[in-house]
Amino acid sequence: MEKFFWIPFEDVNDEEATITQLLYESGDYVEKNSIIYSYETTKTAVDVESGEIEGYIFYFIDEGQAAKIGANICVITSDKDYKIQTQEIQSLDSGKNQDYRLTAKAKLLIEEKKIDVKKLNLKGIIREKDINNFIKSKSTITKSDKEKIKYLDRGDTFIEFLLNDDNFRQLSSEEKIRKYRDNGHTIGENVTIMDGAVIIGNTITIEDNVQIGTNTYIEVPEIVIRKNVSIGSNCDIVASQINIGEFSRILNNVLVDIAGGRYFDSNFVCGRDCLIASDVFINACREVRLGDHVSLSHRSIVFTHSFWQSVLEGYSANFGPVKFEDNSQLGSGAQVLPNITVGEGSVIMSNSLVTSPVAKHVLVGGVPAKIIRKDIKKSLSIGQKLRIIQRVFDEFADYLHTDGYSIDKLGDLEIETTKDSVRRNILIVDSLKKLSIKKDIVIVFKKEKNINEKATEVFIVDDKSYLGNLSELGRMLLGFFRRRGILFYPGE
Amino acid sequence: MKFVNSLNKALDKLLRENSEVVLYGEDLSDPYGGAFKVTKGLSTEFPGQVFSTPISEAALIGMSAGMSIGGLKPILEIMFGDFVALGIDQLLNHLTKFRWMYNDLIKTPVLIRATMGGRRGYGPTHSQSLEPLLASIPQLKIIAPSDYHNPGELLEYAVLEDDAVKIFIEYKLLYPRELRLKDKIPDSIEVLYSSSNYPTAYLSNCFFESPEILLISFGGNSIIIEELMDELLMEYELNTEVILPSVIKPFPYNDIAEKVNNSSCILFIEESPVTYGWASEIIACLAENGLIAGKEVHRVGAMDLPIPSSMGLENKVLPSKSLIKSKIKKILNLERL
Repeated sequence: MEKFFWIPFEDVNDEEATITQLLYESGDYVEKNSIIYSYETTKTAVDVESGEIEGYIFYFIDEGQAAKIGANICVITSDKDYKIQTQEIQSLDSGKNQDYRLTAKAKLLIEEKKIDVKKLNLKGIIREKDINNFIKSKSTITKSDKEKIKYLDRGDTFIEFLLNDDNFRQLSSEEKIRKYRDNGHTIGENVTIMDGAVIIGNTITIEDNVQIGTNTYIEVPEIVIRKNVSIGSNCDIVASQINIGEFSRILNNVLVDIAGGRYFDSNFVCGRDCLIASDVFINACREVRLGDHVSLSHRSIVFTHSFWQSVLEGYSANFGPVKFEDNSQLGSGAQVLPNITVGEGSVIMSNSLVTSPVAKHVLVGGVPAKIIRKDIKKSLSIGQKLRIIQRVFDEFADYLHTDGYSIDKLGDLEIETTKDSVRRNILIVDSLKKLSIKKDIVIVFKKEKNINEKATEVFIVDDKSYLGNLSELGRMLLGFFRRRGILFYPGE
Repeated sequence: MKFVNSLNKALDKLLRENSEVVLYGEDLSDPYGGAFKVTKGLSTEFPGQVFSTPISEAALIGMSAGMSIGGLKPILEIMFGDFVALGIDQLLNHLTKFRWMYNDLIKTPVLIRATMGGRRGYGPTHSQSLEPLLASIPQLKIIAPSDYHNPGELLEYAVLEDDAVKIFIEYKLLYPRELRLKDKIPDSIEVLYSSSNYPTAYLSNCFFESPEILLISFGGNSIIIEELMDELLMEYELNTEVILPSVIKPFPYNDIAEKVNNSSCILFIEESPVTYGWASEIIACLAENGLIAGKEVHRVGAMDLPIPSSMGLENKVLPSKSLIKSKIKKILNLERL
């Protein structure tokens, strides 16, 4: 049997009380209703009695000390050899010894990943993201071959030749491609490297249907350019590694550099069907990674390092990768700073300055950018999608008309075009089964069997694909729809 | 520095440097020094400017009108804010109207200090938060510092620079609290202030991310809010922002509107009853200006009942920390973790 005695809350002025007198020594036997200690607050002086309990008393505090409200002062127990537990002593500083605290999520992650908290070397509140940063930082220190700084192989005679002989740049596209192939590089079919353009790298892989514009200069140790990529004229691309995904388009005067210093991840990686508009500047001294369908608008800027003020004078020199997740968009004139991830489907308004990570599906804007609107992606029903396609289709018909085609409207969903006495029909249908005769160009929602028997050229909305060899009219439709955000790729 | 010491120091400075400042109220002279010790030592130091009075709030408030018309700057202490009700006639029908009835020929720069708030088991007549009742009096300004403000600085400014009739609310549980200034701010919270003479404090544990919930409150509710922010951060990593204005009537519309604009979920916390409350007024203003359309907006406050003496029951009538926490968890569906 034991009973603890503590300081009660006496009045609103006092967080602590002073122990003025202890009437016994620890270990003494105390009778019922004896005064055992006295304390004082700013308003009261109180003698505390043992009440209905007797036994051996053990004090946790000395005379003259201050005790926090609620702190244990003593215990009366039947155990003569009572051992005082440290948690029974609540000094005024209790609980402040540990200099970090883990949130519940951080605790779970630490247990899961079996991380020693002390190795984090962090103080204050530790959140899940701090642990993730730690894990990430550990993983980048492993030294695999992949993670070594890549330089141009200056000992290679072909590279030296490309760097120094300006005459190479004036060769015809076919001659350039032949020389690349002769020197072990992989160049696909139907590739064009325009006048003045040159590609310098240790390994160069260029797939089919790639176009490199006039006077474009690419100097990157590891180059991969997937099929159907086009790079405009007067671009200047310098990095450790580039990987441009299929159907991506880089327009004119785009600058990619490694100011800030070459590093093992000075890479520019771009997913499928991205758009890098003209006059975009990308600093890739750390990795700049674009997901699929990302667009960087005219004159936008991506930076992976910050200024050059002295860190010893207290300024920050910030280096870090920048990532754009799928379907995100950087508005024209906008700028993104190091260590930023732009979430999937988010839009950064023109002329904004992005200084902190951007969540998914939000519209941000301003200097510095703040969230303007959330959940900007809506889910559309088939009916809504049909109306959108119908609207773009109407615009396309008007466009054809201004381009010298004569147009006959055969209802809301079908037109017939005539140019140079060639008549062709284009229509939207929900199912190809409804077609009794074979049509020229059909836009349909779902892929169906025997599709080739029903139309020469088919655009499938759900698949984002097209089938058949596109005529000039088909290519016009492809481009017109693409400019309005409706994309089709060559299907299987 | 503690809340009570900040006020005591400010009163000392006001009395020392301004002979027209007079401080009076019930039981505030030494050695007692006031029920909450705010005026301790002042009657000894300034015997001509500080004095105790009989128990008659109506007379005390009436006196302040006369004093201020005569050129003094009276500071009146009402021991428990509940007793302001005894002087409401003087406040409502005289003090706040004189300036308008006499076409600005006279001014009544009176400051009435009043303690408010419960959670101490003081019972139905010594625990109330009467801010909404007082806020319904036209032209009465209400200042209500939290421990994230410097109450002494606010008091000095209000007495010397502001010629309105002012109620200065002092939340009882704040008196022994260390002010949350500079190194006393908890490590999980960052604080910014608006640049007004009555600054609004913005608390955040997520300055670089958007908050999942915005809490709007004032005065001593900061005690519960600080604990809530910490608990919700530790348990759910909840990003929280808090607005604590130091003047609650007229409330700083712009300070609040700016943050409301960037938040999708807002919770108002007050200790007075929710019905016909402070939050209702602000929500109405924000709604009239189209600022809360499509947002989740909630209120939490006391029940529409007298406050019980029993601490257990008092904790049910007043909005307890656990009640507010479970409300936030429900609003944000936090139990999914």
